[in-house]
Amino acid sequence: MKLWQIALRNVARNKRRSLLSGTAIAVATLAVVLLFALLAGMLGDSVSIALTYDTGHVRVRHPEFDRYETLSPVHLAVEDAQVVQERLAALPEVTSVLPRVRFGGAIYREEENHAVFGIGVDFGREIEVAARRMPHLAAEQRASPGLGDFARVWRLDLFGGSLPDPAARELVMSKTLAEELGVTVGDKLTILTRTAVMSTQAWTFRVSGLVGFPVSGLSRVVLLPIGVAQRFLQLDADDAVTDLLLYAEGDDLVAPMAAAVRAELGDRLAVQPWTEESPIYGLIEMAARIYDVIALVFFLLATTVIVNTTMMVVYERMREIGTIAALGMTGAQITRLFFLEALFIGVAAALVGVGLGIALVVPLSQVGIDYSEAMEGVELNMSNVIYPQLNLRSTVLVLCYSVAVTAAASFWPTRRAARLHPVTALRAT
Amino acid sequence: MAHRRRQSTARLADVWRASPRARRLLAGATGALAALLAAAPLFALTGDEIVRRMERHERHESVVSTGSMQITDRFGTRTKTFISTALGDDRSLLEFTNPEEAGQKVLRLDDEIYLYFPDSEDVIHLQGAALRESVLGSDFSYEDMTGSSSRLDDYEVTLEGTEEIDGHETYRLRLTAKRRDVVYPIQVAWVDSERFVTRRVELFSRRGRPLKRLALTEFLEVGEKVIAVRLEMSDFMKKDSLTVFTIDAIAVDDPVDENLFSLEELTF
Repeated sequence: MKLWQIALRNVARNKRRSLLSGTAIAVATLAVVLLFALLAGMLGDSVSIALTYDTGHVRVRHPEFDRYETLSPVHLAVEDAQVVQERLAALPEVTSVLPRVRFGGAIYREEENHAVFGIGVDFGREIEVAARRMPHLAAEQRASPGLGDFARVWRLDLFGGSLPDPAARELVMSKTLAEELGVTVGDKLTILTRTAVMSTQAWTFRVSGLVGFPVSGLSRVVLLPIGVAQRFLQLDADDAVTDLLLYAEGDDLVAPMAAAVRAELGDRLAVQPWTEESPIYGLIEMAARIYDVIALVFFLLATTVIVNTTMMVVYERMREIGTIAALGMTGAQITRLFFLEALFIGVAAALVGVGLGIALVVPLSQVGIDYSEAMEGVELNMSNVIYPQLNLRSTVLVLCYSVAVTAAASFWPTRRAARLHPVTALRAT
Repeated sequence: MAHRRRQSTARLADVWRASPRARRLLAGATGALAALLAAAPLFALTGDEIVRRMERHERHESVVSTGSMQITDRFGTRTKTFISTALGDDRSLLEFTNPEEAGQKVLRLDDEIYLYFPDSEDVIHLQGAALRESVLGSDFSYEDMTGSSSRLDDYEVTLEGTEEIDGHETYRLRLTAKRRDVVYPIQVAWVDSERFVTRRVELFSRRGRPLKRLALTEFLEVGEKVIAVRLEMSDFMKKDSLTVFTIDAIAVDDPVDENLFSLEELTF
């Protein structure tokens, strides 16, 4: 009988022992797979937030805007935005350009002052560009897309209403802010702001729709058609916008696109690749390092579980080792036999653990894990719902690691047991 | 007797001639006495009396004026023009006339401030912390437009001495708030000792931190009153900021329509 056949028979002989050690290995593997998927989901979420709401791959702004951003300096805008957009869109490195107008304001309601953060967007182009970037989020193309289409590509929860009419003074607002103000779809509210000519302006808007932002940091946002925002902020005379968001074909083509945009615009405007300028990217980089440390600690914990289980299995079989040594099996054969047993259990358990992990992550990546309650009152640039992401490379790594650790953990105690005199091994308790 | 007086005078003259030190002492004593006598009328007034005299120039039955507000901050300089109408101490209406804010109005009724914007369907009622916001980004806040009829109602006044401000002799007054709800807990005012007009005011927090400085640099005589027509306000909380408030034309104590100061009229 061959050694691997004996090893298989041994595994099957004591089913309870094999099952227990296999379960420990499978659970450790499953936990690491889940953790990796969750961390990948969190990182992906941060990237998506930065690219969708904040910077795009490259953001073009007035060079002084960042310095005074907290003062809502809409007078520091990109003038002749249409011309600049056309020049940038003509660059082969640039796939799409989105104009935006960001501003701060206040709503006085029921004799209380509520801060708001406004974003003027071109709803149609936002849908079109997002659909191109993230085809899985896009619905079928329609002649006149609605608020539902926009909500889908911006990953917003829709609570009713429609897109604002660009010819009217209408806006879509965060449901959180609407609840704070006590307004709903169809109600009116007045926003006070400082315009591009440094004057004070107040307009009354009708709420055309309510949405829920995935990021609690955006809970005070109102969205309005970019033309309306330009008129409200007196930016229309110069056709000015505060931001131009540029997108490349892929996330890895940011550097060449930024170089091409800088060459085109010179020093007149600030060209900010999200990898260099965005504070979110810095946070993501830091988060990635923290996640690596968390993963390493978790890996070490899982390793101790696997090593402990495997070593216990070997040590409790010392008398058996003494018996088979007394029957004539050499030390090398005994070591190989136990190594093979551990390998079989390790492979099977790791496969089960990875399989269970995949079975859990796949549905979770669709429905997400809701952190809304935990994140209540905390304003972070992280979604309230995280969608774990399965990464092929890390999953294969976990599988190989689990098997390797199990096999390696069996090697040392078996080798030690095999070197013992059969009588000594037989006397072991 | 006459001989003795002559002898004494002669001895004094001898000392005077012989000792330069005595001459200096005597000259110093005479100068100090003269200064004391000259200053005596200044200190004859109490702080409250100075404030009363000062407010004779500042409080009117009505005022209608036109002017401008030149606001300078880190982003540059811009000018806002206005028509201002006030009735008594507690009602005023400020209407902006420059193109960017044309038609915007600020109505004060007692301590309530209402903002009217032509493009807004609502009148904004400012209350609480919102009153601390600046008027059109200037160094004046809406709170600066409110307050009770006389400083003596809100402050304890202490006369701290006299100082020269821009070549004018002034009384230095320290005004300490009697209540906690007064906008500026401490004010130091320099009041012209001749014309009883305020030349400068510095505003402080309760802990003595400087908040704002108001310099009144030009005045116009209207009847018996002397009215400041150029005021320079700087807010120490803002970097590189100055607001110059200039009155171009003013009519004092002329009849004013009371109905102007109502919410109905504001939105009409």
